[in-house]
This record gives sequence, structure tokens and C-alpha cells, in this order.
Amino acid sequence: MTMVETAVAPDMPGSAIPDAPVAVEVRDLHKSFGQLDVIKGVSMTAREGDVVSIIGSSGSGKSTFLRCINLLEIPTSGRVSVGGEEIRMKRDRHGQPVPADWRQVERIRTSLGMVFQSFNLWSHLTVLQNLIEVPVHVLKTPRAEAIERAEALLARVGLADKRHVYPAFLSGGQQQRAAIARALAIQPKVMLFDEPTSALDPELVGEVLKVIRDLADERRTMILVTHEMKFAREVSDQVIFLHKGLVEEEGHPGEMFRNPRSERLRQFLASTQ
Amino acid sequence: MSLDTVLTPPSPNLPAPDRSVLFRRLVFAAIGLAIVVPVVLLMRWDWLPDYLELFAQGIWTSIWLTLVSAGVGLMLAIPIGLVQVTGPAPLALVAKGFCTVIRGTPLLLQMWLLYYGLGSLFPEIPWIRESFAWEILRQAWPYALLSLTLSYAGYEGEVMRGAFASVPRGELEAGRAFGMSPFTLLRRIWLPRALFQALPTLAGETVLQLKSTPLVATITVIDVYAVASRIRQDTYVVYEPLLLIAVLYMIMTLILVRAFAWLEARVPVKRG
Ligand SMILES: Nc1ncnc2c1ncn2[C@@H]1O[C@H](COP(=O)(O)OP(=O)(O)O)[C@@H](O)[C@H]1O
Ligand SMILES: [Mg+2]
Repeated sequence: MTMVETAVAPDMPGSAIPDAPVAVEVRDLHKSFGQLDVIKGVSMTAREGDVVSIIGSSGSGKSTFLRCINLLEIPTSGRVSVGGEEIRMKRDRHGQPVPADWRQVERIRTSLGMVFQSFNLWSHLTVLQNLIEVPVHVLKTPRAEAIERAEALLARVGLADKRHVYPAFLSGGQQQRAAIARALAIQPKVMLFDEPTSALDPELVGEVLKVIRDLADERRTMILVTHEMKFAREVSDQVIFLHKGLVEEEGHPGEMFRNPRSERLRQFLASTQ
Repeated sequence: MSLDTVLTPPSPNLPAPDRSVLFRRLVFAAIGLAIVVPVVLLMRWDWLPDYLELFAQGIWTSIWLTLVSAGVGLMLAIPIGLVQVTGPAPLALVAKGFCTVIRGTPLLLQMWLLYYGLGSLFPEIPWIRESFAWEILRQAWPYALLSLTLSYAGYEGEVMRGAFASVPRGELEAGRAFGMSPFTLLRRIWLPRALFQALPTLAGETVLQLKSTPLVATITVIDVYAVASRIRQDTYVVYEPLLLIAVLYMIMTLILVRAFAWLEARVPVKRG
């Protein structure tokens, strides 16, 4: 590991391991829905082992930004690379940007474990079936191997005894832990979380944050949209504060939360006390 | 109260029968006996042994017409429902039009149009008369089966459209986010999810399908109902055969309802 100062990119304020390979890179991302410009030029670099938290008030574009990384939303312009591979885009007959190769997008998506605010477990499958669905039917992992790994993951998130239960019979906290295990089951390079605790009753938030904290502790690469400021401060290597589709402030959580430079971040932090 | 509600199976977590339930059952049993005993003793059943074989054939015809038309009809209903949700627009329009026509006209009319229309056209066409298919096309059952199948496809196409549309967006999005191709998503998530969603409706519709089958008797197919008609013509006994087939239909319905309830219980998509 070299200690040369230039190894640290200037636009990358906090990184756990400064010269680790880049896991996700976003350059000058724009996204609009019709006339509405939602993301107006956002860049981000997450290196392997980084936990990047994205904060900001509701409607600031956090979800849209996250969903552009795995192409659930198609960026209007800008570049997205995952594991050094840039997602190739082209323009369709109407001049709209579309992926040049959906196969590439599908392949890259299997390296991004997404966790949704509303869990989105497949309700016609048991918890175990939810976990092996993608490994078996997309990644073509042998079934026995997928089951073995899934059971280990369920034990890890404390749901071993729920493996044959359908999602409708789980609490919100259990569903979200199962959803995290489902994302881990594809052995992703990067985990993407979109407000994983916002749909939960307050007393269930803790059990989910504990699972995410464990993942952070084992240095998993994660991009986390959250409203849990205390949690973001504790687990992140880098925090990005989005305001109206632009990065208003970014940096080390400690510095940003202790003395925010911008008035907007100050107000935002005060409002989330 | 309709037959369907009477025959809805009890939910599995029903409490153990207490005294009032026991009492109610005794009352029902008494009423049942009060009906059955006079029926057996006072009515004419001497014709029954002569027609047992015909009844067996009739029951079989009713059952296979119901099952095959519902099975093939569902296969058609799936794409009919799907294209109305996904497009392309011209296909969606064709599917919508098909459902509208089928649902907007009586099944009896459709059956007669096929049998007396199409069925009387075929003999005029020499190469059809000469083909091996003629042996089949000159019979009545293909027209019965076809009209029942198209009818089921039309009604269930609409049901499947609703079912496809009602699968939560988030569950489809999860499939996409994990790298499923559109086809894998349809095969593994969207279709099974929609089918389970539609299952209670399909159960009711399949019972209705069974009870639409007597219409085939009007185009000379011998189902259970046609047997009762035959007995009336042969023996001038009117009520007893009708009572008997009423019981037979109830038994067949009960079996269908139970089969669907078993399917539904296997995958509890919703709680309770
Ligand atoms: N699919 C969409 N179509 C139109 N507008 C959208 C869509 N998704 C999000 N938006 C709009 O984009 C803005 C940002 O939304 P979002 O990214 O969900 O914000 P956040 O996650 O920060 O609350 C909002 O004004 C929202 O209404
Ligand atoms: Mg959001």
C-alpha cells in the first residue's frame, strides 16, 4: 500500500482504504422525469470496503440517485461504473438514453444487492425460496449449494426458524432482515440500501440496523440512503448530503455532523434531531 | 345464498365444535333425513339401474369438458391478460375485443354459431371432407369443447389482466434489481404471483364453467344433463332424474371447490 498523497482522488473525501479498487463510480449524473429535473449532476466514488451514506430531505433525489446505479431508473446523462465496468448507453429512435446492452445491465445488477424501503419480498415464495430464487434461476448456482448458503445467511440474520414461512406471516423487521439476506445471497460486490428502516415501526428499527452495522463492521461495500443520522454518523466512511438534486456537502461523517459548512445541512441536521 | 357460499370449505383453524354447533348439525341432519327418506320411498327410481352406464358416461363427459376447457382456456387467458397490461397496443386491442365479444354474448349463442355455422360450413369444403380431421370435425364434441374453451378464455383473460396488473410493482422491481431478464421475471415472479392472486376468482369461475356444460346437450353431446333428458323421453319420469343430476352437480362442485381450496392453502400469499 503506497502512502503517496495523489493516490487519493480529490473528489473522494472519505475512504476506508484510500487506494482500494473503486467499487462504484458515478460521474456527473443527471436524471429528469419529463420536465422535472431530479438529479442535476452528481458524482460519487465508493471504494471497496466503503460505507457511503446519502442523506437529505424527502424529495431531494436520494432514491432516484441510488436507483440510477442499478439502472432501475435510466440516467438522462452521466456515467455509472460498477467494479470498473462502465454501463454502456445509447440513444433510442426518440433520442432517449437507453442501455446499449440489457444483458450487461442484468449481469451488473447481479453484483448489486438492493434492499428496498418496502422490503419487496416475493410473497408467493417462502423465506428460503426468496433467498435461493436468484442464485438458482439467474446465477445458475446448484440448488443444494444455494440452500446451504441461504440457511447460513438466515441463521446470521436470526431467521433460521422462519425459513419455511411466507413473508405475509413475518413482522416488518423480520421481512427486512430476510430482504437483506436475500440481497446477500447473490454474493454482491456492493449492497444498496434505500431507507431500509423507514417503513418500520420504531421498535423494529434496531434489529435491522444491527444487521446492517454487522455488515459495515466486516467492511462490506455499501451505499446507504438513510434518515437515521446517528447511525449514518457511526457507520459511514463518507456522507453525501443531497439537496434538490445536487451535492450540497460531502465528507467525513465526524466533521460534517460536528460542524456543517452549509446553512442547509445545519438546518437539515437540526430538523432531524 | 348461492351454492358457492354454501360449499365454501370451513377455514382450517375453526374452533372445536361446541354444543350449539352440535345442535345445529343435528337439526340439519334431521332436515336432510326428512327430505331424503320420502324421496327414496315415495318417488320412482326403478329406471335407475338401466341408465347407470349412461350416467357414468355423462358424468365423465361433463368432467372432462370442464377440466379440458378450463385448462386450455387458462393457457389462452394468460397471454390475453398479459398483453393487455404490457402491450403492444394492437395486440392489447385484439385481446380486449375478444374478451368484450365473449363476455357480451350468451355462451349458448356462441356454441350454436360454432356448431351450426362453422360445423355446417366444413362439409362444403372438399379438402376438409377428405382430410383425416373430418372424422373429428363431423362430431359435436369439438364444437362444444371449443366454445367452452373460448368462453373460459374470454372471462379469465379479463381476470388475468386484473391479476397481472395487481401484482405489486415492488416485487417486480426486486426481480429486475437482482438481474432477472424479462422472461425470467415473467416465469418466476409475475405469472405465478398473478395466478395465486387470481386463484379464488378462478375457483368460482371454474364452478360456473361446470354449470355451463349442460348447454352442450343442445348440440347433441351427451353429458349428465342430456342423460336426464333422455330418461324423461324414454320413461316420462321427469323429476327424479333432475333431482339426481342436481345432487351429482353438487358433488362435482364440492370436489372442485375443495381442490381449489387445497391449492390456495398451499401458498398463503395473504395472511389469514
Ligand atoms: N418515477 C417518477 N416519475 C416522476 N417523478 C418522480 C419519479 N420518481 C421520483 N420522482 C420525483 O423525483 C423527486 C425525487 O424523488 P426521490 O428520489 O424519491 O426523493 P427522495 O428519495 O430523496 O425522497 C420527487 O420530486 C419525486 O416526486
Ligand atoms: Mg426515497
